[in-house]
Amino acid sequence: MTGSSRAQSDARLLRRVAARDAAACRTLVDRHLATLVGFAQRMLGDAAAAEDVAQEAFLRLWRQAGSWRAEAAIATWLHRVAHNLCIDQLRRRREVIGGAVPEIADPAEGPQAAHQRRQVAAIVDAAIAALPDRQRAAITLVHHLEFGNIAAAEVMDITVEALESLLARGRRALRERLADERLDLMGDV
Amino acid sequence: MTDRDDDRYARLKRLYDAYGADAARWPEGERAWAEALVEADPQARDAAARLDAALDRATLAQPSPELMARVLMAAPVTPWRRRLIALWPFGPAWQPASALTTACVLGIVVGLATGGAETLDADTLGDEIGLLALGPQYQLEETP
Repeated sequence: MTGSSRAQSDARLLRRVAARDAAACRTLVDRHLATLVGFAQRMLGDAAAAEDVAQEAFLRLWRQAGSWRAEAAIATWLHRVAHNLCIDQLRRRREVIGGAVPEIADPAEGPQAAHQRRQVAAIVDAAIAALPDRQRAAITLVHHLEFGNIAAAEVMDITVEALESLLARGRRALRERLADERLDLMGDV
Repeated sequence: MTDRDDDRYARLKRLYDAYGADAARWPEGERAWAEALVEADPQARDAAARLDAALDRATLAQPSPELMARVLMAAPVTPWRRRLIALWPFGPAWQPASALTTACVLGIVVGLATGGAETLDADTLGDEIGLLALGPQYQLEETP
């Protein structure tokens, strides 16, 4: 299913949601809950907080169902709500601890990292977690969630040019960090 | 090489830098001409592809079944549907219901078709278990 036909299908489902169709609710949840949780977890580094964000995004969608105007794709709208909630949370955390950014738990320290494949994943996760928020959001949306550039820019409420700049800076930082980590398991990065 | 070519090579480099080596992630309107130029800068392409491969190794969290249930419970559905979701949040309820019904019907049909189960007397059963546990040794020990 292409992006635009998926968006149209989502809009039809939301009309059925407004008519209290449980199957339509479930299909929308099946389509979007996992990416929302993945995105929020990447942004916040906290599984419980990520689930709260995803739940809140869906609650707002349910409330909008009856008056939905198809100006944005539902996936874009949901991720935009999640992005804003994550940014608010990150901002509050910084205010609480006086400006320093709390370090997101480094998955490389966990016992699961013993396995080689998991070790590599943990190193990459940690490198992404260390990126500035907006670079992390841009890379997650475009690389991992496969949003197009226009939709990703809409989620983040920035221009496509700004998105490209964030992506390029983020990828450059990752390349440097991963090269420092000597990822010889995967060849030079 | 024309100025236009220069512009396009420079833009291709920026596409690699921002979006990586997979053309599927490039802006839709630029894919056609950019894909025709990919051989022009194999080093930039390979470097972008290596970083893509590293990013592919990253993990993304999955939602818990409890979250799925919470989100569906909050959906605008009828009260009886909500009760059904509370009982079975994992998918359409007809699936487990039909599986259970099929199992019950099959059990009854097989039971009727085969008649009563043969029962073993205690000695035979003891021998069966002894054979399973000890093998031929059991028979040797039993033989006077």
